[in-house]
Amino acid sequence: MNKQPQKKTDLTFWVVLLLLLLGLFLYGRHLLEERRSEGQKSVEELAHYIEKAEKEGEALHQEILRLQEELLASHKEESEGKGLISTLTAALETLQLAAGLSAVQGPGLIITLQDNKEGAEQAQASKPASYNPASYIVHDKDLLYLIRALAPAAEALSLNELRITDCTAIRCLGSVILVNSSRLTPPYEIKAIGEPSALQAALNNSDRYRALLRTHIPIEIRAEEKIEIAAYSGSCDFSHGRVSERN
Amino acid sequence: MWESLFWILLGMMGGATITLLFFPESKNNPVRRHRLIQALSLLLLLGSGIFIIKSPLFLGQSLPLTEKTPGELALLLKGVNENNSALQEELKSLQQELQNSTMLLEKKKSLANSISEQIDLLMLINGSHAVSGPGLRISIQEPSNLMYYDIIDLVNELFLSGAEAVAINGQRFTYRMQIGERLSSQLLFSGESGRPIQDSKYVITINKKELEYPLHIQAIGPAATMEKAIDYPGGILESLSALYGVKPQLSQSSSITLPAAEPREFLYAQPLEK
Repeated sequence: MNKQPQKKTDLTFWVVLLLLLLGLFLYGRHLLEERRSEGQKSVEELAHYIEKAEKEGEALHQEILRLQEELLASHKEESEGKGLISTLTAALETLQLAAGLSAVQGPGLIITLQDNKEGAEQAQASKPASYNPASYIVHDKDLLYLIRALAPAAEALSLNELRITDCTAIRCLGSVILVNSSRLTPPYEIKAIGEPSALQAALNNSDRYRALLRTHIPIEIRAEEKIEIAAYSGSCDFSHGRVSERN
Repeated sequence: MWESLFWILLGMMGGATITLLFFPESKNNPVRRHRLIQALSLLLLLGSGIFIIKSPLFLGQSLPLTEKTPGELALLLKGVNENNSALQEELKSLQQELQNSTMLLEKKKSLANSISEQIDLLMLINGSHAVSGPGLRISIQEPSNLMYYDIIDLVNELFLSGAEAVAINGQRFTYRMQIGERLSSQLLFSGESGRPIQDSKYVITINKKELEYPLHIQAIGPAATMEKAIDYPGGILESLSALYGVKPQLSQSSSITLPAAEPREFLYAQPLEK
């Protein structure tokens, strides 16, 4: 007797629940339909703008990615370029040093030569007939031979602050001496960087040095711990020679 | 599809309910009734689950654009536009950065090219490479009484008249080249007495090695100018001829090749600190 109302209650519950669920679903659909109908036209327009803007945004994003990659490659190349320039600069500095295009410092000798004015005056006064002024002055050849005598022992040389290079020629031009297109007058100062004792030995072995001493040309030699020699400042004309193809 | 499934499930639930309500055998059969209730419960749970899972309203998912309200869309459009503006700013900034980087790169390339050109020139000047070009050859075939001073003078005259590179007997001249002399002695046997006589004479040395004949001095540069600079009345060649009876042969050439010089070492001279 008690089971019958219980069954009815169960069934009623299920039916009510089912209808409630159906009602909920239908209400949801109704709400959506309502929303759809509200300003459908402006919604479509707005949706179109949004889609367009989103596409533009995507294109911008892709362009940014492309530029970022390009920038990364550029930075990499730049970084490699820095390394290359450092290497080239180091090579250039070494070559400039060898070519005399860098100012240098180091130990060495400073040799100063003067014309023998006192000797000339005395000779002129005492032996005017045999007086030869050329015997009392420093000649271009004196400087050339002294420099050539010092050169094998010297790493850098200058004459009156003019750097001696492979192509330096020394020649008298009237009363002056022409070196690297500059005109020099006494006193002549030769600076040589190298081992001072080797430079002194080279000088002592020079015929011309001994000859100058015999003729009483005033020569002063100073060994210095630190001599500064200026860089070659002339032009480097190399218009005929080319690197040989055989190399 | 999910909506169709939902309706199918709902239909099935309805069918099960009707069966329970209107068929007495089902009511009276506890096993069948129990199974029907189980099936009904299962269908109800499945249906609810599908409804909940697929309903964007319940999950808070964004509806398709056309299902949003104009207000929501306006907000969305504003957000997208703001985002695009930010992207455009970033793009501009990147373009500027890339342009700067490219310019810097171009400058560096130009600098590297300039340094490379200077290096090439310096390698020529330093004698790091063999060098070719037009120039002048001076040859003295027989041993003579030339002194080392004469070689120095000759080379000096060549550079004075525009020589760019010089070689003496195949050795590239550099300012550090040694040109000197040394006393060379040899024993000679007299024909009459047969007694040995020591014959000593000075020989020219180039980088400490005795100069060999024929002597060839080659210079790259303006050949005609160099020839005229050494071969004129009162010039160095005339002096050599007058002093030693030496008559050097001169020949201009369109292509002379000089070897590279020995590398230079710097142990004492250091670049001046700037």
